[in-house]
Amino acid sequence: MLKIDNVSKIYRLGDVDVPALHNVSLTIDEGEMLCIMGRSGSGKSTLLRLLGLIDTPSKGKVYLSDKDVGKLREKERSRIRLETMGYVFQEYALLSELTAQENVYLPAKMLGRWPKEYRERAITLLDAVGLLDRMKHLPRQLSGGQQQRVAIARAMVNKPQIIFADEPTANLDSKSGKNVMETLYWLNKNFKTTIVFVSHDEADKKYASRVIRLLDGRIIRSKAV
Amino acid sequence: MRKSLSVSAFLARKLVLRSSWGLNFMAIFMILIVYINISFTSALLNGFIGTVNEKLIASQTGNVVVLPNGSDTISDATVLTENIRKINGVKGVTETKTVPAEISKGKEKSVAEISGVKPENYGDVFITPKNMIEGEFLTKDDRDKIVLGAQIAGAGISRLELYSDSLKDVHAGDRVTVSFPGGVKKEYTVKGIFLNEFFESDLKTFITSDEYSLIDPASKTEIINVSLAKGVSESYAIDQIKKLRGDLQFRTWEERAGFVRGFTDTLKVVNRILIFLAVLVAAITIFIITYVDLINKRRQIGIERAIGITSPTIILSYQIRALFYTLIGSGLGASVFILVIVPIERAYPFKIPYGSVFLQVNYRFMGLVALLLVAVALVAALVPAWRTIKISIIDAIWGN
Repeated sequence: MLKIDNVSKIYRLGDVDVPALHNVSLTIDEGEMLCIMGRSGSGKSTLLRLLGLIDTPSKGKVYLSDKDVGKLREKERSRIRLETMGYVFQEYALLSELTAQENVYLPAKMLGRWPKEYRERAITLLDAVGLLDRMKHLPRQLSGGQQQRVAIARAMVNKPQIIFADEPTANLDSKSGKNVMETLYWLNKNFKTTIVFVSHDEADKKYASRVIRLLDGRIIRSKAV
Repeated sequence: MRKSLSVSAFLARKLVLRSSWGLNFMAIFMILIVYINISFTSALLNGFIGTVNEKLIASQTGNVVVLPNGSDTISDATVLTENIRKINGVKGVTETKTVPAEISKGKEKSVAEISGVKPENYGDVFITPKNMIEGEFLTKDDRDKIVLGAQIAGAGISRLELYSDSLKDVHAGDRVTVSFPGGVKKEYTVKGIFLNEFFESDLKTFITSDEYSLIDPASKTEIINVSLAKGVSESYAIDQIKKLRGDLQFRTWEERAGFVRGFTDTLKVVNRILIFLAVLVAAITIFIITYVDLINKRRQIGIERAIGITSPTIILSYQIRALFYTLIGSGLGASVFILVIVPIERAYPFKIPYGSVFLQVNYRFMGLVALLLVAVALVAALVPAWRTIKISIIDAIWGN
């Protein structure tokens, strides 16, 4: 479904080239729940951004359904992200002027779905993540955990093939973090949505079907759970 | 495109409704002030120019001036005058002959042009007979009588621009001596003094055309002034008069405006400069509001882009918000201007040496100002939004 082939990423900081990934190859199958682990600076977030078409590789290729999408123009990558991918960021990733419901249905509105359809879908998703009673609340009126669950609902609104979550529990208390991970797990199991998440918490391994570990920009281990 | 527009409008609506009301108020208030500033300044200057031009036409030139071509005088002027009067749209016609002379009373002397006019039709073209501050205007049978402009007579009005060069204290009923070219001297009784509040015309002096013929029996009409009904164009009148006689020259009031034209042209330039500065203020206001807002929302915009909202959609949302501010500000500005400022100014008009100045409201211009502000606001919002969008998603979200 999603494959990267011999991908490297080098950031340029001033006059210095900083390599973040070295010749990484990885295939993600449909329905997988993949956990990317590693120390800080190991390249896990970079890998997630390349897989999610938020960033472009310095070298190598990214395939989505056998189509090379790594070097597409921003407009085309944006279209793919909207139609086939969902994102859950670390924190404060909701639009502050929109209610929970509006945040959830914004990508569907962008895709051109009918208002009745996307409003109802947003309600269904918020109900699914246990926040139906908070749908009219603005982000500042929600706790961190609630915001992340709204972000998960938003990631699901266009029925994506794959959801990327970048340390979704990093800034949450353990109870809220567990709640968020269980929501992602539930999506994977019930909707067969492929999920790729980055975590530094060993406890999150239990939700994954496979765990890969990165060190200094290289995959050092890939293990099915 | 439709989807993008729909999302942009949605985001813009939320930006307005859920951002600080103080910010919204400030943006709209600034546009309102700019709009009123432009409308008021233009209306005032146009009113001023209009007042000056009206005075010029009504006291100095009429709408069209007919002059001899190739000689000093117009032959058969009386017949021509009668025929011009019959042209559709002509309100009044009067003929004049003029000679320079020195007027004196005691030790005071003043140089003036003495015009020989026909009192029975002079008032059809000019307002002078209605603006007598002392005595009366001439009648057809007046002999040895003269009417003086206030700038010549002085009339004890020391505020007059040329008072120091006038006879200073001549009043109706006084006797003055007029020295014509060729050594002819004659005493006249001042029948009246007029004040048109337009100093070029207040430098005139009048005797009757028949009295003029006594001084210079060979004299003929030198100039014919024509006033037109409202809405009748000068070019139309000139074309009609040309059909009557081909041996004449024609000037419109604008061509005869002289210093007034230079004066009003300068005001028009000043007006354009003021409009430019006001529009610049509007542009800077919208730019700052959008720029500051975007600095605070850089991460949020990165997230919008990451979840698939396209860059043009995001830029357009900020432009729509700027459009909203501009339309509301302009609408309120127009309402305040038309419903409050104009009626107050009508009740208490500005006074200038040429008379009262009323704000001249030009609805087409006001519409154009609103359009101009809209265009400027769209560009002013585009620039910072475009700059923010140029930042990569990675830098926008994670601040690298």
